[in-house]
Amino acid sequence: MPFTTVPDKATGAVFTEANWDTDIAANLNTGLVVPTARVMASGLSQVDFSSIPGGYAAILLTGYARSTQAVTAAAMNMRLNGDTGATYDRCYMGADGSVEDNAEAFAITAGPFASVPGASSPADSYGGGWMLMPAYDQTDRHKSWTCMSYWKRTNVAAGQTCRFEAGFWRNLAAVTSVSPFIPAGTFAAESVFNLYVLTTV
Amino acid sequence: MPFTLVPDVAVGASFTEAMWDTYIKGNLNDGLARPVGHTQLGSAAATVTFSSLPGTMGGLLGIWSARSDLVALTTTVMLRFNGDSGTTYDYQRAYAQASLNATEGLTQTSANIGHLPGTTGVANAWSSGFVFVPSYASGSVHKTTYALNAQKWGTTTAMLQVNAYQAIWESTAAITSFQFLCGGGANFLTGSRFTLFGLGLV
Repeated sequence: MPFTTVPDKATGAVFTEANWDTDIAANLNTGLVVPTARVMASGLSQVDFSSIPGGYAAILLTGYARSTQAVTAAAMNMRLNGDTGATYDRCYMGADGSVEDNAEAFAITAGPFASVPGASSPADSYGGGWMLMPAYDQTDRHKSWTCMSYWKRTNVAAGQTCRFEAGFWRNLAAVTSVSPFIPAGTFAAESVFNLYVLTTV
Repeated sequence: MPFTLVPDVAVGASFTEAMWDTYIKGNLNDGLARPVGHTQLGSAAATVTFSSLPGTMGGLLGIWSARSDLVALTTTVMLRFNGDSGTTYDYQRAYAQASLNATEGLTQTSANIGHLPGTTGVANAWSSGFVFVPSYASGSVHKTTYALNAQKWGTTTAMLQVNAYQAIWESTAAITSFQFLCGGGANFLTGSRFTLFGLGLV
């Protein structure tokens, strides 16, 4: 599963099955930054990336979406392993127009990911961000992750938000599923989520 | 070696050594995003070093998950390049900890890229983060780093942080080694994980 440095080949060397299996198949399938799943989320209110394999260094989730709910913006949180308990903490800083913004919350029922524009935001405005979680499969620690997100609510001053955020899950279990969701409505057409695994050596 | 677009080949074409070296070896080793080092500590250690880095890629991305053995609530994760412990690092940090805050360091002996809990932090809390270093192989410009970190040492107000850092190493030398250091003269705990990726060029 880790990346294997590809050797040089001398003139006339034979291309072997082992070359294929180790240098090409294994490296391409599991040795790089590998996309593992992609979901077009139109009509869904929750996206479930399940059966996430262990053995990698980190997982990276990206989301670019819009909500059909009649609001200018909707929070898009996420749950791990389907856990709906009050086991998550969060902390963020960001900016809305010229206003600096921050908040924290403890023992909440979902972790942070991003927010997305709603149906009352400007047409065709999509938003979201990414989430990076190292050591997602380790069972000796609670999980933590960082997020960066952006979304636009209106076309006037203070109608945009950018945010850096930290998330925490009070659980020792290996993360095997990640589920971003919105509280009402569904994801609009063209909303898309990608999950990547980052490998080791 | 930059990424080389892989061409189509005609039916019956031979698979040559040049094809292997350029499209398979060259692209996989240097042209894509791949790990160049990984460590999970089997025993506590003050530093984790990735050396002999390839000088052929476009950027470095370090990711980590760690906790410290310092008898304190928190301490720092620092970064040092090429073993340079001179006063050649400046950094700026913006963070939220129940309110917005900032700190800076000038002419430091390493760059701040994270914070993590010590032994008096809440049980099972491990911090994580990443640091990105573009143009690390340049031999003509100072190097800049960008980092983000999730930090927790308790479960009540002002015991969480999201930290954003930028730093500069005032050296034009190409980066050939990349060292994580635990602050406060302490160690990273057993099980702490560090992975370094190289990002390909075109």
